[in-house]
Amino acid sequence: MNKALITIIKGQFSDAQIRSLEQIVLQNYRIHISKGDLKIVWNLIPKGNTYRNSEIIQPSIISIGCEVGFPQESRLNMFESLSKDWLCITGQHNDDLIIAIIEAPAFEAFISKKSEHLTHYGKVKFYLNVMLGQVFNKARNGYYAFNSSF
Amino acid sequence: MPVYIILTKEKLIDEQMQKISKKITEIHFRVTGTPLEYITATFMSGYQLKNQNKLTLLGNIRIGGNRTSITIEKLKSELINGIAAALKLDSSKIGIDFLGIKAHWVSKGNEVLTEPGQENHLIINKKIKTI
Repeated sequence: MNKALITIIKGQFSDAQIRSLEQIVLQNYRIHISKGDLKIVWNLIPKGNTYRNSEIIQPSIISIGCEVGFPQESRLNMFESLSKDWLCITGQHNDDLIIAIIEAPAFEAFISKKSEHLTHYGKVKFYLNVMLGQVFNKARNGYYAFNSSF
Repeated sequence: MPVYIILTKEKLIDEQMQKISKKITEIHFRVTGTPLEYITATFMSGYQLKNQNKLTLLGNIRIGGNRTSITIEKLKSELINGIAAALKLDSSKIGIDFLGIKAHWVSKGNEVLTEPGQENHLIINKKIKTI
């Protein structure tokens, strides 16, 4: 199963908006990338912790895994269609939306990069935070999510 | 892109985050020529870092184009020294690692990113479908 990690600012969108966003990511994924399943996980960043050119911003960063050699034409179609749907729901400026469709080996490296720099105890703590956060949020809000800072 | 993730154990105060993000932006722009409005820094705390590091910088940056290993090493070295100076930290307490992402895998603001070295095109607001 491919995965998507979507980084947003905590509290920026309502639970209902996040569920709608999840639906449009999934729909576009099935049209442009693969008919298979996609696990979507939301990475929640505290407000005020993201900067661009010295200003605090509230970006959304969508990272999705794809197969090696994935056609660029399909990637472009995904960019265009998902951007349009996403911005329609969120009302964000398009400069605040980054979409990355990353080949599987690089995507796995992207996902595991953080834990490579943690102590053994740090990895345990990090994975517990990710797993418990996902379970809690799925049960309570209907989507998998964890806090990037804990 | 680039998107820099800054990991720390303790939460940094706003002033520290501003100093670090400013330093990252200045250095990445100077070394690579990437326009300032493309350089993002996001801070995450609660992480027990290896080697007793006080801070670890993870850079998701474009690869290919004119970006050589010499450029990458220069960028790493300047980022470590620049952040150490900004925070008055020993540079040995700062970790750094990059993940190379191909430019055409990423879109921002309805544009597909261009190869490193072709940054002038980034400013032209090239639409996705025309690439």
